[in-house]
Amino acid sequence: MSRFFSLSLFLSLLLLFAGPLYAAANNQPDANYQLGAGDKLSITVFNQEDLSGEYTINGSGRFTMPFIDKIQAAGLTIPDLIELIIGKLKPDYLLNPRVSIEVLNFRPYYIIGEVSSPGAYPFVEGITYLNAVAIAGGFSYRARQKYVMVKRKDDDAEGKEVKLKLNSFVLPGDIIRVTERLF
Amino acid sequence: MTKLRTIITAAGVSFTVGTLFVVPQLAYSQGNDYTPLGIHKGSFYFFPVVELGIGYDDNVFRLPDSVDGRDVIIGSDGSTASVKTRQSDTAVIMRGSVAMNSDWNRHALNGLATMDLGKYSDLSSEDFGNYSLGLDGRLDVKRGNAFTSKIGTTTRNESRSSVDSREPEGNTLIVFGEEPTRYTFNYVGVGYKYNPARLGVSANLDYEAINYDDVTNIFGQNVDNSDRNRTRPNATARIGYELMPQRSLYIEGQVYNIDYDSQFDNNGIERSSTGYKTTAGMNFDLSNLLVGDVFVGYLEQNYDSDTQADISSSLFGMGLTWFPTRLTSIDFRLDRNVEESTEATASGYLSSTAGVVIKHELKRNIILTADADYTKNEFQQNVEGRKENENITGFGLEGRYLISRRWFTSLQYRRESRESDIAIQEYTDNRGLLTLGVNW
Repeated sequence: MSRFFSLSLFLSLLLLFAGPLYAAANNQPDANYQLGAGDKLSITVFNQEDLSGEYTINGSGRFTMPFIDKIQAAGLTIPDLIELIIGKLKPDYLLNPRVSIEVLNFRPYYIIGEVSSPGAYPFVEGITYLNAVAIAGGFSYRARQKYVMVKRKDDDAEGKEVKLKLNSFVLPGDIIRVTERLF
Repeated sequence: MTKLRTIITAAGVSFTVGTLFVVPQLAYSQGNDYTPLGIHKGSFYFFPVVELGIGYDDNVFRLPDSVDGRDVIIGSDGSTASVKTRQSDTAVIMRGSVAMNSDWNRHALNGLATMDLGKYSDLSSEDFGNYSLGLDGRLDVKRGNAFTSKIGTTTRNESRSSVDSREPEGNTLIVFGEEPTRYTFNYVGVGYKYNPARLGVSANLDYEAINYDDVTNIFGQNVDNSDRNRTRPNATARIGYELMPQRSLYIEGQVYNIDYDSQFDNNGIERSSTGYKTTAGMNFDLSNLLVGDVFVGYLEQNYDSDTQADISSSLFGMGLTWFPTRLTSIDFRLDRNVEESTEATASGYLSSTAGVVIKHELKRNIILTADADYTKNEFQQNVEGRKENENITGFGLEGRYLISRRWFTSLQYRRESRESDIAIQEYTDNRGLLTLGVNW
């Protein structure tokens, strides 16, 4: 009996942390990544095919799951969202829900200002601001090439614009502004 | 005639502010949201510009501070006149121009018409209306071969600073016209270019004529300027060889004749002459960072009269544009030419000019320009021991704000000063001009 209990405990612990560990091996963001509008999630509820599926966070930061209805996900980390979903499923619908979440598509980043092709571009993990400028067609002849101004939305608040070097990493949802130089 | 062309490329007469030389556009500023698109009619593009402004000049007559301040003087024949002293005035200026360019695949026809009007608030004698019209064309025969032609006319006021339009009397008086001397400059030319592979050969025949109107001087006497009327037929040939892409060497030779309508001028001097000029130089374009032309050579002008001192000199010239950044261009110019003169003791003068123009695109719609130039005029004296040289320095600033693709405004300032061996020919002048313009 105690042997069975130990094995069960071990498997439970394994399943509890399987989501994030599995996610890391598949190039998923770290645990501090905050979800936002535009992120497309794959949510798996163990043994519940009706609840599992792909969900996209809408412009107001929410998505809808069966039984639970609207879930406010923007601003939450993945562990926070897992915990929220578990809290909503338990105990009315499931006794011991097992939830894992994977980000299928990150929300795009935006680049404006002195680049050849400003616009929205799909986020790719690990790109720097210099990579982002190159993807947007390169600097214009008037661009300031030593830094960029970046705005990030925190939760539902308007983010502050900060000056970042070109070798810093882009995050999904970044609004990157390449400024104009005078000399 | 070269100096006349230099004046023609600047704007206005008393309000010749801004650059002395033609400045190329910053390479990267072309084709942005503020570039005029022109009017496309048939196979031609037209680029009209109209500018209206207010100008100020603190020394309209270009006189030194030492000129006699008396109101009335008595002339040598007993006539009386009001003395022209250093005076300032404001004027309303209107400029208009239309450039025409063909968009044909083969051949080309281009034109430029300009108009420059000024009305002074007090010194109405200085009101001016300057006009020019020019056409140039290219007839392609086959790849690399083409005939070229040009024709044009300009009518304008001679600058008050010109030593040919003013006569010192003693050390305190300058005698000149009640109104500026007016002249007309006409030109016509044909040429042929032949560019088989790396070799380039061209030949041109040009004919230029300049005619001056008579003027009444401050003593009410008629000044007959017909003795200044002259023609200048000239022939130029050039051979060039492209050493490598965007780098070529050339040799050029020119012969010319200056024929005055009158054999003797009002001082009894025979001024007709013949001359030649040879130069060797290089054209280059270094990665669009340094573009230009440098040359050295020799010129000689021989006068028909034995009493006139012939002029000969080494020649040097440069026209370079450097782009230190993509927002800034610096233009360097060096040139030397022989110019005609009406001085009784000189056959002509050697004019050497150096200039720099810095242009910066502060923002896409704010263009700042600064320029400086230095000219040394050495009069070739017929009288032993006599010296008459002058140094002219100029400095200018311009700020141009492009309100939209259609509208623009500019503020210009120019300071010019002349030092001369003849003290009464010296002056310092400051001019400002504020304009509002519209272009298509």
